[in-house]
Amino acid sequence: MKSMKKISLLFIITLSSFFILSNSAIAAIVIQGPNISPNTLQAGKENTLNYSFTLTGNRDDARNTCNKPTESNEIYWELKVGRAGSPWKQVTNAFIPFTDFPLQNPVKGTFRFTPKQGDTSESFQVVLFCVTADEFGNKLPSRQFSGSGAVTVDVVGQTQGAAKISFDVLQPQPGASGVREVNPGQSVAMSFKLNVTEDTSDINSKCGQVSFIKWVVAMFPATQNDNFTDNIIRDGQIDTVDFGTGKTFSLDFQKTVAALNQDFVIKARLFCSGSTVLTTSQGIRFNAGGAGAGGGTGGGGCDTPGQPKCKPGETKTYSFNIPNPLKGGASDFTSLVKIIAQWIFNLAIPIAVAMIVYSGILFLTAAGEPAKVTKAKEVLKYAVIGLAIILIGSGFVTLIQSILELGGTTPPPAGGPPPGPGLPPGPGPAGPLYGCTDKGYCVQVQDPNNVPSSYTEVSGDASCNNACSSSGPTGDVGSLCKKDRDCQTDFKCKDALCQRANGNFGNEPCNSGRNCGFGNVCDKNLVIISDGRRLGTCVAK
Amino acid sequence: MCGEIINMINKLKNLVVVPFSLALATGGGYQGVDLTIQGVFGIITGLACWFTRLALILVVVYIIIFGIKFMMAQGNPTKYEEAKKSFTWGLVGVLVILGTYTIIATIANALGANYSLIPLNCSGY
Repeated sequence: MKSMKKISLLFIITLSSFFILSNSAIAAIVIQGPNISPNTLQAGKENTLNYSFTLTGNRDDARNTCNKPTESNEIYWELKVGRAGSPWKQVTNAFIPFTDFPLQNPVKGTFRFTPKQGDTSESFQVVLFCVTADEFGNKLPSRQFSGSGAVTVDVVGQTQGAAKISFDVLQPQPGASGVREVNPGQSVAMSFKLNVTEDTSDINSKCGQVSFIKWVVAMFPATQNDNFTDNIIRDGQIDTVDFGTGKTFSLDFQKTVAALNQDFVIKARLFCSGSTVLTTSQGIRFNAGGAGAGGGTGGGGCDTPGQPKCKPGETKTYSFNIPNPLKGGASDFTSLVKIIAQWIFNLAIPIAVAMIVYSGILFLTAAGEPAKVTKAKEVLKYAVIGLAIILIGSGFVTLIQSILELGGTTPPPAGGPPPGPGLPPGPGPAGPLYGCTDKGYCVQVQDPNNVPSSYTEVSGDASCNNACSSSGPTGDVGSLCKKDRDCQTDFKCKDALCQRANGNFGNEPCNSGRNCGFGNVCDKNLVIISDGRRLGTCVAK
Repeated sequence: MCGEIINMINKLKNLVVVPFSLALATGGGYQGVDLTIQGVFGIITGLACWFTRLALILVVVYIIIFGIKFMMAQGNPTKYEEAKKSFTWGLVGVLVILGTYTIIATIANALGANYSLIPLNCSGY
């Protein structure tokens, strides 16, 4: 035990003396600087800056510093920028061979740098590394051995408050009490007005170099903080360059909104393309299910919005709604079954591939044995039969129907053929009639030529066929289709959309980039309504 | 003496190693991967892709085996017939494996199903 202590003591002394010796042997390379000029940065734009710093020390100092066997005969320097709390970012760098030491001149040069939005100052620092070469001969900075002090440069010329967003709800108007009243959970046809004023240079100073900014109109409970993710009413983007030196964009739109079950606020907000907030509008408040205010106007139950409190003995009406927990959007049993069937179909296809490949392997390994060959044949036969049954799928229903009707005329699809735009409500089939608003929304109406000012948007409904189609005839570019034969001659059916043989031209509708011709992409923000679907527009890349 | 030194070094090692293993054990929340019902599709596709690759390897292996069988026959008529038979059925197997997509597409087209999907996309698996 004693001897062990002695040895360990000796060990430590030797080690520490070794360190002291080796430390004293290194005459370090010393950094002076860096100097950054000019000593102020302009906010919101790219600055060209000069840097200079000196490295003192001779060749041996460098060699003694980076003396590990894996390290090569060079040192690496790097000029970094950063501020407290965020990682430092490299601006410029270079390698210096040992043979250049002692350096006769300061290291200098220029670099370009855009200060981050909101920064009032930026710090610069020079750090030195030893260099290791990997097995491919690539030089890599491996070990930092020195760093300069940080040099701080002030940022001037921040612009403030050019971004402006004005937002209003035109419909419904506030009641007599000055507050908009809606029933909880009720669908309300709303009309919005949004004005966005900005300046390209202001965007650049706050967002960095972005090509577009985003706007979002959203609603959230009045008691909670601003939330622009859960209940988005509408969003979009505006190209940065379009603002120039200051311009206002206006947008009026209508949408049917399901009121929340408590008082809520609708606000608009401008974002940089990421999540940085440019500006937020004032909130438009809606009372839903709060205590009724204002005088009663008769009709309806008591204690509902806009009605007086209930008196004892009076019947009180409560309204509530149960949100649909299904994210797939199934609203009835048939569509629920459809979603489940689609999921099983998706599973079945890879299984079919696996079974066919399995039968191939059985053939391969059978080595001519009749029993095994027979088994392989059976596997292949039943895989093909199974696949056929899967693919026919829902077709069985129509097959059995047609057998039961025994050669009768095929029944018209449920709801009757959808009327085209402007079709008069004649004595035709008793299906719902559809019309198109001046904003391109498909709506259910009494008279397609006379769309009332209040309506329910049903653009997502496939039965709203052709009412808002930009292209009239069936099977034209942009029409809904299942197969090529649903489209006009020379057109193809791709992604359930009729398109030209080599892809659609610019300004024509698309479901995905595959629908557009060479050099075009599908911009989903430019909405075209066709056959009751909201499609994108083919635009040049 | 020597044993004592080794002992000491081991102790030192333990001192260094223990904090790291502690950090590993306490880091992160619940163990395991998030699994959803939608993920089942990915699992089945992954298995099918794996199986297809296995089959392609087997094709190469078995063609070599058939070649060896022909060589081993050394002109012996019975053995030659046997080798020929295995080779013929082996070719059928290769055709079936390589023609999987053709088979599926043919059936789909024959039935008039809307067939624009690729049966198996293995790029992600």
